[in-house]
Amino acid sequence: MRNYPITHDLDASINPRDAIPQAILDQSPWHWNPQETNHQDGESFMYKSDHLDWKSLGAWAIRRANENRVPEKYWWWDVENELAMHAEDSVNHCPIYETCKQWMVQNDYNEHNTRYFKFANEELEEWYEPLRNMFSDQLEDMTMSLFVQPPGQTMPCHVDTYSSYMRKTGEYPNYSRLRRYMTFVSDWNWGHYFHYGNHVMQPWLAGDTWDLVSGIYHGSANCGVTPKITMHWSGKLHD
Amino acid sequence: MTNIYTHSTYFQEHLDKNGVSLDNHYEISPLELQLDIDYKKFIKFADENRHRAIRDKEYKPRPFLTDESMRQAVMSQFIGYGAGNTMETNWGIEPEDDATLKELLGDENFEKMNLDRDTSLVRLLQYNPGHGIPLHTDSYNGFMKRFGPGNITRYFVAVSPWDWGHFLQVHDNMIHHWKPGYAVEVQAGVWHLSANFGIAPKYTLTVTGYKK
Repeated sequence: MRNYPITHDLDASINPRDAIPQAILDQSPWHWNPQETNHQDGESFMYKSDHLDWKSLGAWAIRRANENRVPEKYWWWDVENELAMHAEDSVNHCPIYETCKQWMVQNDYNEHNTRYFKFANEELEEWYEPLRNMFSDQLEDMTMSLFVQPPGQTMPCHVDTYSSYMRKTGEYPNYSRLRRYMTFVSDWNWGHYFHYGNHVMQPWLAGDTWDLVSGIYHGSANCGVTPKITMHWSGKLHD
Repeated sequence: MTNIYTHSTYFQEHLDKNGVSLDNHYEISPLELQLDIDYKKFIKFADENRHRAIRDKEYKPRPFLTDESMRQAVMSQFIGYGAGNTMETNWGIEPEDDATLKELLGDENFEKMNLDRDTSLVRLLQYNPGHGIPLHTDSYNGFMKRFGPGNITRYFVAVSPWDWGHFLQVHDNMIHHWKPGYAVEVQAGVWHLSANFGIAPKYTLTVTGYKK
């Protein structure tokens, strides 16, 4: 495997807040102490969705992942050019950049522990319409992504900065209007982990749906033995 | 076709064959303790003794493991675990370091765990963000080779304060938001895993010994 040293000494006092764009901090103030217990982070659970046969969608996703075999998405640091890379795309110009440096320069995240399969929008084939219908009344300029996270992989802790939305619309996001919803497509299993702010979600069932309010630090990981599958909708709240 | 991204991995089949199911709750509350430790002393010890650590030890099959542990390591490799996501740094293999760690832990905490201090082995583990140890059971093979069989058990002890992305799973119990000194007995044969998917290093102890 390609290996390279972490370019800074490990630092237990890294504050994720330092990497969050000021626009998000202004619009979505949040507590930044992981030991904080007086919070409402767990109250963003919306409902258990019976809109779809989630297990069939999960089976579809696994089949598609098996056809590809190579996860399309992963994070890595281009040492030579000092670029934060998401697969083949530099995100140096995106608001996630400073967080990427916390992951990949100050810590040891790389293409070996951040890989996932992504199926977006029309790639969802026959699932596109029914999935779109779930939130089309709430969101405009909506994008949809289904993620399959294999064992041993993580989506490191971050605040949503809507880089894909930026690429789609060409606009710098108005975070006060942007929203992301998430549904667990697979049941919770060994080593599946999702923290939303200071709330750790566990156990969950396929169909459990969360309103991922902007500005809240979150991350997910799969340290288990089966894939973790989640579905995400992003867009602007209708006026 | 069965392959690494199907739900029916060899690992899942192994769990099913052995009747290991998350549907069966495993109650850990009687096994939990709060020890009194000065966690900063452990991290200071780590920082001052990095040259003595076993560094960059990845989770992989090793010839001295038991057959079951070897099988678990092979199954983990087969589904994607390796050097990129399982690196560990640890202290305590050297008798001098084991003695220092016992001293830092203190007699009172050994009493709370009901372990014989003289024959216990203490390891300080550091997992950096992005790394963890996948699902496994403990065989105590190394301990038994040194001290012989008996009523052996192991404690997980949290050293650094909980931070985002740190967790321990003991069967169906996801453990997080710990304070330094949180301890749980992880008994023989109980499936567990631990990981750090946050942004700060995770320091923990394992304390293996005979129950008094």
